[in-house]
Amino acid sequence: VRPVAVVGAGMTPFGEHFHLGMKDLLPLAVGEALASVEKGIDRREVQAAWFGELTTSDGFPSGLLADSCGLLDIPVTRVENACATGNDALRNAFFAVASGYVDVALVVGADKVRETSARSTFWDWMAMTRDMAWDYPLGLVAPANFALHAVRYLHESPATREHMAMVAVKNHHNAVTNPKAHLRFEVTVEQVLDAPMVVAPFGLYDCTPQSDGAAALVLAAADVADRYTSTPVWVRGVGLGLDRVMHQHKTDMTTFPATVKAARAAYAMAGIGPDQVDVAEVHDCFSCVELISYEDLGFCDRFGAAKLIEAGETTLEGRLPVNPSGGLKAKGHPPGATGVAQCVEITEQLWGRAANQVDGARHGLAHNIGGPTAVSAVTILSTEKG
Amino acid sequence: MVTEVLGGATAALAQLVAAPPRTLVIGADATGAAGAGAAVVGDDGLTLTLLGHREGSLPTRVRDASGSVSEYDDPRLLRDRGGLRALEELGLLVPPSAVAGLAPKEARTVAPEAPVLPTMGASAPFFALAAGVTGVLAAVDQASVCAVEVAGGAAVHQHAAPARPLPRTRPGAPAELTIALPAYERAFDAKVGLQAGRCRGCGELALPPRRRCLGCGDESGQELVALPRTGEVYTAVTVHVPVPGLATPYSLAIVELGDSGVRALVHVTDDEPGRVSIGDRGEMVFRLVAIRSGVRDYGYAFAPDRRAVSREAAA
Repeated sequence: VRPVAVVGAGMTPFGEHFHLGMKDLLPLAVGEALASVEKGIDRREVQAAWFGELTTSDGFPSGLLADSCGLLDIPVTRVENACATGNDALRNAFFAVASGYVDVALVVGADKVRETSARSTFWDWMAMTRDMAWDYPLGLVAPANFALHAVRYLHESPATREHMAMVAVKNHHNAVTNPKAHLRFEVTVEQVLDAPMVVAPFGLYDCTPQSDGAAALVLAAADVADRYTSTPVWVRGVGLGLDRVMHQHKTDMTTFPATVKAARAAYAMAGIGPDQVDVAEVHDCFSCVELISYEDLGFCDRFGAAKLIEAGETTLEGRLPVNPSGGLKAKGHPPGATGVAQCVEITEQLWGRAANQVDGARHGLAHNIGGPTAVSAVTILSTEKG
Repeated sequence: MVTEVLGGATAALAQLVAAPPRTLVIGADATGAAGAGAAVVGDDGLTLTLLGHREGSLPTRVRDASGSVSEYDDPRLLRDRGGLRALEELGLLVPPSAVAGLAPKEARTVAPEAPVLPTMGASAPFFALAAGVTGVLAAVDQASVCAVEVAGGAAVHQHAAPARPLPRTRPGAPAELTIALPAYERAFDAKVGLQAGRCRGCGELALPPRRRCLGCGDESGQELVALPRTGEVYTAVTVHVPVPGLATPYSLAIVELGDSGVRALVHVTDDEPGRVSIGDRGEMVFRLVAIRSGVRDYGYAFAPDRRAVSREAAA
């Protein structure tokens, strides 16, 4: 395989875009990604596209992307892999470029969560992700799906609800200075702890908002990358991991084996270990998921997450800033767009022009965990070709 | 002559500003926060001048011929694409000092000094006038808006018992849990009998029964065997957020069944929601799990044994 670079990255703001449809969001994100290409690019130079979308707002996804973005003459493939959709779309595009099938590929992720009533969305989705005879009639809504893990994790590890709250406080803080973020306000530990309960132990501020948004990346083969940029960001590692789909079959619920597998694959491919990661975008749909993921990604030892967040190591000023964008928690979470937008953030970090820049970042990591905590994708980007 | 008009705050204010002298205009709300207000139109008192009236369509609440109401429950959509957009398109030169038809929090994003009105429907403009609003009064309803300039003063009579606060519990939207009848039928024996599948190859148990063994990967088929009816909680959560079709709060638990090595994900029953915790022991009991498309869907739930707890407390 040949090295693959990110040469363009862009995204719409995340938020409640009642005034914008899928056919607006896609061209906005693709347009920004193409415009970010340093030496310029014509969209006719894009040879294939991969589109990550969890739902099907306004119909047939691949066709919508091709039609709304003027890409009718190239192959477009829709990727759906629960909340790992975005990073998996990138993984598929990477293979096409690395293999020599195309030189320039487009990765797009988008979802329009607020196209249905706020109160029914996650219920509608539940029917897509649960066993219809055994789980669905129980009302295993998305927050409950993760809360089952969180309760066991709080029971076995030194972490408390206060540590979960620290994740929310940190990510809200980062979002304030990110113009693309959905929830741009600070919260305090007390506010997080006192917020109305969604699914115990998750209060309102432990949970991601429901966001609309789109994000896009332009990938180019090493052979042609210098035609487009003098600062390529290299896709060094991609990994995907799976786990049992029913919670009663997950032996140890204090960890996400899908993440462990995805991370192992991505680190091995990149030749970069967790101690070399300078900045990370970690899946924090619910506060506790960020804590568990620190451990699964190897950022700390097992049950060491409480200490890591307590010491401020993952703040913007810390040793390993996590979710400088605000994360899913405060930047927002349109599932198909989320992973792609994480890579937009990491690319901007490695270009040195992120909204919340981590000084001298060379290696960055993006991570999703989704579905019934049964699929994870990890991507490692670097300024070094390797 | 009595004219009945169906509508919310916008319709009521539009009727009031257009009414000739010697008209009694009444606005009444019977759903949500209930209340009523009225104004007599005369030759003196308050002067209302119509500034603009715009009708749009954002049917978040619709009524069919039989009178039953369907609601699209999304307050921020209603604010952003309904009231706020309609107000913007009206192009008022002076910002409103009060907005009838929006929740107090939303009204204050438009008019920071707006009085808190007790209702949000047809009676709301009357409450605003009774509160002594002067300047621009806007009334919004879905995507419609009516704005008037209010000047002068009028006699206000209020006859109202202090309202009791609205109940805090919110019934879930009347959605229906659908059923996949083939899936129901395939699972029936194992579900109503609390039976696991036992691998013919290695004897490993699985709940629900499955083609491929969780242990050895054998795919030659499983036989149903009864599971222990007692267990211990491995993890448990309580759902507080409103869920369409289910009464909240409810607790869910993953229970380890006896020494079978099998876990079940089930509702917690016969216990106060939220009380269950890791390590609780109890019984698996046969319960109605849900009614789905009219079909009664039965299965097992976990009933914590509280006697042991009270004995410990007594000791």
